[in-house]
Amino acid sequence: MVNPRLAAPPSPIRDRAEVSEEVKQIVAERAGRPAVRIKETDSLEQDLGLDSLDQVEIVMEVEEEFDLHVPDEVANRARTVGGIVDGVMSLLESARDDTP
Amino acid sequence: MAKTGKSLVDCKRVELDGVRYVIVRESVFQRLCEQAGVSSGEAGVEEPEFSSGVGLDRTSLAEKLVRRRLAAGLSQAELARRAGIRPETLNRIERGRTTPDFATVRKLVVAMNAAERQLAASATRLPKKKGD
Repeated sequence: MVNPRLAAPPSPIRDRAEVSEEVKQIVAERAGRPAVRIKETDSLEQDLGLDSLDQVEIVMEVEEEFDLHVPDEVANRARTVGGIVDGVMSLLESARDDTP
Repeated sequence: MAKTGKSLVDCKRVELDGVRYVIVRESVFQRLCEQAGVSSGEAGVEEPEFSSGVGLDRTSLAEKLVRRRLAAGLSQAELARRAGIRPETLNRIERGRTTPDFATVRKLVVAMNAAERQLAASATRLPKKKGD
């Protein structure tokens, strides 16, 4: 038995590693350090010293980069770099599910 | 509309122990504080507290917001109006008295970005100097 959705041709969706790299790039610019030194486990506030203004601007850049809207409650939950990546991944997935 | 003409601030820059400071006359400092809608406090008394993480975020957020707002050429009241938040709320945020939630900061950033773009657009519309 094959789920027709799984059998559909792969969408141009980016995989997690790619999303992670792009998010790190955006975060790195705000944090003023090279992207290679950003880890997914880094806390935006404690490890990277990013305040809520920085965090809002990161989310807005992420929205532009991935062409999606990040709801405020999703953004609020993201405390780490990996948290942003997870949020983007689930938003990209639900966007793909909504467009057959 | 917000004023776009910038006047020069009479100041001196000094470096002490590798930290750069800007010295301005007290009257100028007070005028700037007034324009920024922040309290000037007692002269030389208020040293920033770097011990608490939350306090640090609030201070840095407050200062950055004020700088961004002024760069966008907006008064506190005008930014509050454009962002759709109460002026008293913005005033409390800019004084570091309250930590705004994500939604509020986003409204402020969107309003400031729009004002900055307007400012940039009006600057490029200025007539060019002839025969440079």
